[in-house]
Amino acid sequence: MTGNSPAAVALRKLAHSRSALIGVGLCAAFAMMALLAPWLAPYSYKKLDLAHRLMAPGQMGHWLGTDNLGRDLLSRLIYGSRVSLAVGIFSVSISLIVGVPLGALAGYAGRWIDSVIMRAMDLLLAFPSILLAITIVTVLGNDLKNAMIAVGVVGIPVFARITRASVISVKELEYVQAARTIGCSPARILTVHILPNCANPLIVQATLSLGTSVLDAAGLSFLGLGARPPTPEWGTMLGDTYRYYDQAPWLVIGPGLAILAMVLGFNLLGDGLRDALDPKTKEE
Amino acid sequence: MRIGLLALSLLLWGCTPRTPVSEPFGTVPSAPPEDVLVVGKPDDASGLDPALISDGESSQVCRNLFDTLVRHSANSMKLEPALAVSWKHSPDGLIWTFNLRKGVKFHDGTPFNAQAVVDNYSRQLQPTHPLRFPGNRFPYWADIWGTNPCLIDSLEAQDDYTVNFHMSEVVAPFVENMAMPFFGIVSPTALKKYGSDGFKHPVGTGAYRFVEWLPRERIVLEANPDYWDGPPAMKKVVFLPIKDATSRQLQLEAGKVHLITGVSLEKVEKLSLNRAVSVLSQPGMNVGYLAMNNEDPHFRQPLVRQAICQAIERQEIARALYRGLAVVAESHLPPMIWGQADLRAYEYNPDKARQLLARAGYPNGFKTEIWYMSAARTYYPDPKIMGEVLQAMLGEVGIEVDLKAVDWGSYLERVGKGEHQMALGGWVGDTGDPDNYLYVMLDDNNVNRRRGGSNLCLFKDAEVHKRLLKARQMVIQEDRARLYAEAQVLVHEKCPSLPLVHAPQVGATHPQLEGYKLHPTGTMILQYVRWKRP
Repeated sequence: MTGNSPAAVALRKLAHSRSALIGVGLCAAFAMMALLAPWLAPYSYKKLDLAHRLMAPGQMGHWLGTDNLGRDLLSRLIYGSRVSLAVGIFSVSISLIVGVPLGALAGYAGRWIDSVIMRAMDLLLAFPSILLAITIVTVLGNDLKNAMIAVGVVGIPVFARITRASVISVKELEYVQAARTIGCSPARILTVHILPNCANPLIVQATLSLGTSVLDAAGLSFLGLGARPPTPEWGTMLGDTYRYYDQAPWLVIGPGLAILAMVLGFNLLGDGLRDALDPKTKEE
Repeated sequence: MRIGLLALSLLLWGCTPRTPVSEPFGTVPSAPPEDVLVVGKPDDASGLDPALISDGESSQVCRNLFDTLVRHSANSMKLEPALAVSWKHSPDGLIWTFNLRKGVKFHDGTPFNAQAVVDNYSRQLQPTHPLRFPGNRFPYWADIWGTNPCLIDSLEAQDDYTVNFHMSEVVAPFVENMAMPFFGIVSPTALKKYGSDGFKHPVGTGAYRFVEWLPRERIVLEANPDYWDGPPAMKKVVFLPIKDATSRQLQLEAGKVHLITGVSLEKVEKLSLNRAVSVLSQPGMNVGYLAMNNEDPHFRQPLVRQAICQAIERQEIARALYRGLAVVAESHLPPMIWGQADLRAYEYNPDKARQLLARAGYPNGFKTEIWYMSAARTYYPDPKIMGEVLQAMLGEVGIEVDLKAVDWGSYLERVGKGEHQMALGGWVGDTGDPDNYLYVMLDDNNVNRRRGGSNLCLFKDAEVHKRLLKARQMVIQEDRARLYAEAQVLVHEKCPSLPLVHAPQVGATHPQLEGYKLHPTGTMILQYVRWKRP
């Protein structure tokens, strides 16, 4: 990685941070797991085996044991990474797609448009996020798709605020004024000149939000408001089996650790990216 | 690094199979100092007017607030006098006369007499009765007596303490039906006073009287000191809705709750070893079945229904989900009730099921949904797990099932209206009469698409209907038994729904609680309950 382009510098900084590398490793591992699930999983994630319920790890070729319906826990965890990644990416996309234009509009247009949009965002922020998500799922119906939408909606105000703040600081810069002077349309100024310069904080926030989205969706599923059976969603797995904690603790530990690892991965990566993209931190 | 090691060791500790507990543990607690009983139930009541409810959770509470004319004994289906001291029928079986108990008062002081009985029954019988208020719907009345025409033609007070019921036809299980908690007698003064809100202000003659109801939080009753059958020993009873089976058990083990229903079978073994708890269990008068909507385009076809019956391995369900304590059901009639037919079990044969589906025009199966109720029932300790098992078994023969949780509050009504494709159905009998099972669950008269009937498969069959109707108009048990057997053979052939299991009844109490017995009907009788004190 040579060269002095900002991207190359950022990558070099990222590569030198140990915690960021752990984050990258975890995320990559889960991505591989999700992509290669059918080849990695030793069993089907939905095949019941009622004769071998709650088997302890290591028995009969079930490395992590079986759940309350005799399904292989390892296979369910591996397939579960698909669900959680999809949930994270999908809901963060919703937050981005809605939040960024709203924030950009508010920041660039200012005045009453700014007020209306940002008060609406304040309203969303005023609700505890899980409560808002529960309400949305209750209204839309109990489904994983709706849980993703709910988590995505909950994330909108964060992106709107970040975008607005960046847009306001960038829009007074001289090159933007120059663009305005030569007659660029506001839409062009916003999309070509302003937004690309607001990307850094958004990238960092999106990465961090992936983690919280996974966590929120797992929370909803734990409450029975997300994935429907037999989808191997980690939160659902926890919710369905936590009452066996004294007989079969692996059923709680497995999905619990999986959620922890994935969220930790996104958070470490997000922190690493923040440091790497910050021009004030020096390259070692 | 150290933290990593710690995490690793925790993980390993967690994953090491512990030896199962097989020794009794814990200590026997002493009885609480006050005469208060706290009951933990899977769900709150939906209402406290006995005529308006149709679910067990509500009727368990109402059983202790209201009396019926006749009642079941504390632990069997034997009938005993309650608000009526004696009863007889005319030679043609069309007039029943009840002699009422004298000197009984409702909790609000209103005297109990023949007029009160007439008011209670007439408000359900006559659509324009002044005590029928907006929003009043009498599900049990419709299920048991029918609405148009109604089996009870009219009733009148012959004198202050004698009531005559005029029947439009002979109804064999008439007196048995009268013992259902749903025909509890409500104070007419209270009905008048509260109107449509009557279900929140129960006033009866029962062993306990109403104190307060905070929906989804608690229902509080206190002893009725003037109870005609002697005041109960318990001064106060609190019903707590505790949805989660594990929390119910933990709270019982901790002594915060003294009596629980809906004990999860997974925990029975371990729970019975805890000295702080005593576990009660007996075969239940219930059935759990998979209700296929016989008006649905898929399940209208007999081949599809047969395929479903062959795709589900019920032995395995009874063994794994009920710890072998359940009996596989072939009929909707539990085995301890007379009128049994000799039925050949549906064979578990997924290959055959696939062939049947192919013959029905679905070589690649089809998509459908199964509804399950949000709260545990006697017959389904965990409805979701039952749903998941059925989903997986049907998946094996190519039927892709979407599982849908439906709130118990509206479950029976929505399924009764036929909004479902398949749904978990179940029934706990209120009387020991086959009529209470077969007529209620399978007769044409109980299909009601508009308001929701109790025939959850919307099964209509002229042959079955003929026999079920005839049997309820006869008095000799042998003749009735023959008709019920025939009807069951017909139903078994047409398989409108798949009977799954007869589940055991399991409850658990504080070890110092005396006088509590599981009732075959699943109701809860707290009149004789007391604390064992030295």
